[in-house]
Amino acid sequence: MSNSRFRSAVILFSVAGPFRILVEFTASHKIIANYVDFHSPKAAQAAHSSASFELATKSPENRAIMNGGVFGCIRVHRDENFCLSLAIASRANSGFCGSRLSASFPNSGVWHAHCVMSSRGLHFKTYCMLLIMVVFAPLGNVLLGKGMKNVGSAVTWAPSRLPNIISLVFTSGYIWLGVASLLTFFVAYMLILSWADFSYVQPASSIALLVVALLGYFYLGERISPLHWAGIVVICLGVFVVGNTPPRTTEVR
Amino acid sequence: MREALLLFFVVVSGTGGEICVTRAMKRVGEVTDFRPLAVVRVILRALKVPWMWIGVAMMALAFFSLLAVLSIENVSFVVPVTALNYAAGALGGKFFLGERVTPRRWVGVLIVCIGVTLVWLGKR
Repeated sequence: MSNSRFRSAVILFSVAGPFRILVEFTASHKIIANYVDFHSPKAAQAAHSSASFELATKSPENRAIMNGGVFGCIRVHRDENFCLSLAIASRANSGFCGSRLSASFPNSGVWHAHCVMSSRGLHFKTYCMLLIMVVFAPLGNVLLGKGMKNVGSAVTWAPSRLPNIISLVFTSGYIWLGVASLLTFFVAYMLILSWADFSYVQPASSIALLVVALLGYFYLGERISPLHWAGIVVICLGVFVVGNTPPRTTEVR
Repeated sequence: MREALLLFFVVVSGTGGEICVTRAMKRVGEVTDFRPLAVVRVILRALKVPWMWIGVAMMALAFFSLLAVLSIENVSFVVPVTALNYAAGALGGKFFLGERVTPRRWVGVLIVCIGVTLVWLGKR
């Protein structure tokens, strides 16, 4: 298989569930040869035990379809015009759920890989982190609000009073509790951002807004007008619309 | 006026900070080990990425602006308004991180903006 004339494109992938990967070549170049390769002992084992990888060249000109199991690598060799080799690597449970990856190759057109699969592992992990975020962010905000109400309104903050205000802020128990809550939130946030898109995580976590309003109403006794409630509900609706998009749309570098 | 300016800082600086932190964390790589020591190691590794520091500085600015605005307004007003982060986030994710923002997400962001407007009107 390894012919020095050939360069190769490699996709590494891993998923938690059954999947199907479709590699499409839009260039007119012929696929000279293609085969499946496993890059870790664990992956090879999983593939042997649970799934049979098959790589079928459906339309030899431009398409290869692979059905398979857990972890693997498809390597497609093409002729020497193939200037660039591609490696899209993803670690355990990350998956490119329903996302479309594409890379362009000079001299050989555009190369697409489309994965259709379920990755429950990713979603479970993501939802756990979201839960932590949704609990601790509102709690932190409410505690900060309570602390700052004791400090006094910023409308009347004169520059000369600033040291006094800063000391009030940093000696307030509520502020510190709020900061601790927000730190918990922040760590969960950092962790989740290492595998999921920012534009997915941020909207999905905004159900926290409703929690803040409820805490403000019941715990701080804030007055909330019907229009205000409506606005909050509309925001959450917007979040719901946004929340169902795939966790990742970009490839891992 | 002062609270509007502070809210602007909360939204823009906060979102900018988050985008920088995302960049840093994507460079650190996906976290698969959640034992405390491993998490600490991830944080230390993240602190070596310059984007992380820029992000943290912007988030700190956003945080102190948030404190100031919280001293003026109710939590139940301030936090929903900071939902404008979602609009800024979708724009930032698209233009700075190269994430693909689907039409569906844009519709969601639009609805969020309408909600923020209602909250703002409902305050008066």
